[in-house]
Amino acid sequence: MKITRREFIKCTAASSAFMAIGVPFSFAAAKDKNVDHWVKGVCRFCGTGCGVMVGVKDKKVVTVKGDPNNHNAGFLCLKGALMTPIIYSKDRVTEPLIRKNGKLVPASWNEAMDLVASKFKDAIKKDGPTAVGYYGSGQALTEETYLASKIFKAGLNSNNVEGNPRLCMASAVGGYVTTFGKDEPCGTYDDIDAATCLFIIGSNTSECHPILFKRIAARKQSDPNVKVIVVDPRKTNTARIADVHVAFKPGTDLALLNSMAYVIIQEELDNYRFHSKYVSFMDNKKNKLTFKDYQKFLEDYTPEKAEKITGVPAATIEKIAKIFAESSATTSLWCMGINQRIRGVWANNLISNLHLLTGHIGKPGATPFSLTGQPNACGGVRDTGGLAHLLPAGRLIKKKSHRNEVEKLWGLPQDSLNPKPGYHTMAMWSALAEGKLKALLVLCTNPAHSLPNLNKYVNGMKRKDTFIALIELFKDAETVKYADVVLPPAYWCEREGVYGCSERRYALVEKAIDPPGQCKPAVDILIDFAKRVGVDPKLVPYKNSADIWDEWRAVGRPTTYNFWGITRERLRKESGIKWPCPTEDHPGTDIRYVRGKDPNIPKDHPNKYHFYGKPDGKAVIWFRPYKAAAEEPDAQYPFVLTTGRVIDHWHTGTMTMKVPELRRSFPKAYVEVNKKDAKKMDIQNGDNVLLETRRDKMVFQARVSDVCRPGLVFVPWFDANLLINKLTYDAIDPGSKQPEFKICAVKVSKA
Amino acid sequence: MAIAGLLVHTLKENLEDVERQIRSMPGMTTYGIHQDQYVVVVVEAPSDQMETQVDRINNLEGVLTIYTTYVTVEDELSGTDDR
Repeated sequence: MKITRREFIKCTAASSAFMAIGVPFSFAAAKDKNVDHWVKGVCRFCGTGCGVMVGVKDKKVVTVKGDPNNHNAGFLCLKGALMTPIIYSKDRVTEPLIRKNGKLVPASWNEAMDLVASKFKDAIKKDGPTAVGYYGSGQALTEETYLASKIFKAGLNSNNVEGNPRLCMASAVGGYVTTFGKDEPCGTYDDIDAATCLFIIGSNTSECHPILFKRIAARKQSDPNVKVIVVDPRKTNTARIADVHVAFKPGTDLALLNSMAYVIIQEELDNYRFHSKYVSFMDNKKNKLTFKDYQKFLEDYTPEKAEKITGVPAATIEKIAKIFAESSATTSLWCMGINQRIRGVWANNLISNLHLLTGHIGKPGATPFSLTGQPNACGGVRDTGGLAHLLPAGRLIKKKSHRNEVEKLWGLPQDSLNPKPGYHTMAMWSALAEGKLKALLVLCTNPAHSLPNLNKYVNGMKRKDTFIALIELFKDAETVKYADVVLPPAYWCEREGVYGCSERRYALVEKAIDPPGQCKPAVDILIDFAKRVGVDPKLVPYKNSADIWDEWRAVGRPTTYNFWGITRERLRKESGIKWPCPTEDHPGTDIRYVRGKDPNIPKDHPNKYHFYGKPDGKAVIWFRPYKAAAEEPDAQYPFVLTTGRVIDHWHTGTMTMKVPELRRSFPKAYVEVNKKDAKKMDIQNGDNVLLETRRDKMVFQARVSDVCRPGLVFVPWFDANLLINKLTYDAIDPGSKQPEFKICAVKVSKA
Repeated sequence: MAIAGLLVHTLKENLEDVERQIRSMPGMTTYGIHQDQYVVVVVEAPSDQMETQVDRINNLEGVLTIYTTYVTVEDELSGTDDR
């Protein structure tokens, strides 16, 4: 039988689908004849971190498919499968650009880097090391963030090292650290496959983490007894498969979660043996209290009292609390709905409270699991310490012993690291606006689109006396407008490095093709920057990112992150390994804090559970009272505005808007209005609607539906032409310093 | 023209209906029902119609979600960018 080229491609497409569900597909024609070779990598988008195989023909990427050996088992969402056109976008920056007379003009690498170095040196000379900073990203490679953080903290003595992850998961870090003493989840994605109850709160998994939603849906399909609870003020696509959808009043999650704890204890569904042995009880002043005190604290949150706060019927609160506790294995999943709150850390604590109270932890299918938004926020920024208060592998700048340990590892004199944490993200952009921060290096992120209350901070970016050097892929990214120098980086599979996803899995993105024009790997740009700005060459002795990886392995080794066994060679062979992984023959860790599962716990440890992040080995149930949002609706601004993602776009849309299929499916932002509210205001589908907050106003087309609960409107934030962040509020969580993107008060009217 | 491989995740009770309806759509080839929850589909469509085609599947009763396992764009790289 003669087979046309078109049929070859069809068979390849079908075979990839069969591979994804593990069904053998023996079409003789199904060979990948349209591809010269495949290169292993990780998807460039969300924190799920799906493994991909990049198909290369004639030195060009022609296709991307799911890696059958990674956690996604060959699946990809539409975004992930459509990454190819982004690489070849005509909007790529392919040569260094310098702003002259207000316009960005091409320059040589030498001229551009000399200018960057001189501006940084001038700023340091005049105002000291705190006048310069680095703003990075959960999209940068691990090696890039580790290196940038080291250059600034060790090389320039400036702790002004921040990044987009502060806007995204700082509250999750705060939650894990306060509850368990160590950051990062204790479980993995495999828990979804073993859970009998999935408690999803503040996460539209279906649109934001489609491949994890696939696992949730498959789990529910495989066993009709599996219960899915979705807690979200919007009836999202995720809520479609829920047994119970709880559309609570925005900003009342703390009361709801405390009320669930009340019901669990009242119904005697708590696991007394577990919490009496492995849990300490603590109030906000860190006083050690008792279980009885906790019961007393929860009296303010009876279902009846909580109903008044949350708008959720008491019977529903009782129902979901019982399902949570009575199921044999409950996994919680949450994301920005919990993190982007003025009390995001507390909300994180309260979810973990429910697990510690019921003992739904450290068993397959039972874990509190925080989802992340960016592909390398966990592995790249959280783990390497790419924030203003952190040092690598969970160490803290303010702790002398941690600083001294890192000084030794980095070959620095004792007590030479700056002991004062730098500016956190919002303080950093405020400092730039106030002219206190003079020179900033930005890598792989788009703050002029992604910061809340944008107008305030963009005014700072416009200042003539401050300097922004931006390492950015695309000419049309919003932040390019305010950059003094734009440096062109190699993209994704144009260079090599590690991504670490939400489940502590480190996986290698291998190089598939050469970058275009004069684009360079960001690691090379950072090393060049360090040399020109006068950093001791001994601090940056690397030839490539693999050298940096080996140093990072050594720096992590003395800690409980220990991933010494995840060598570059293993990463090339395997499709990701989960830390801790202390030796090369260690398979990686699925469950932390459990004897026999977590390599940090001796095999002969007397207790099954050991929360070694805390001095007494006990995790903490926190007494966290209800606190409303920073800006609640009132008579003048009677609605709540919330923002988020749509399935086909990712983050600020600089990548996904380059893909015709994705751009067409969601060409512009819109406002989602509840049917009842729309009727009252005579708003029809497609009508122009004016949204006005205390910061700015903007017109959007209406989508009338029952997705938002009455009183709530939603706008996706990917659209650079309709920057909803001009309207959002920049109040921050006092613990995590993460802004409350998810809630502000808004006036809604027909335009 | 673009070609995509899809897995259509469907509620058990709607599987056969969904498979039949997809089969009757132009440019769609189905490759059977698998594991009581998936329909394997290959879509051929001009790239500007791909998402409309996928949306049509998404709107069928009982379809939970669609996973794309493969999209070829080789033809478009040498062709025109429609921006």
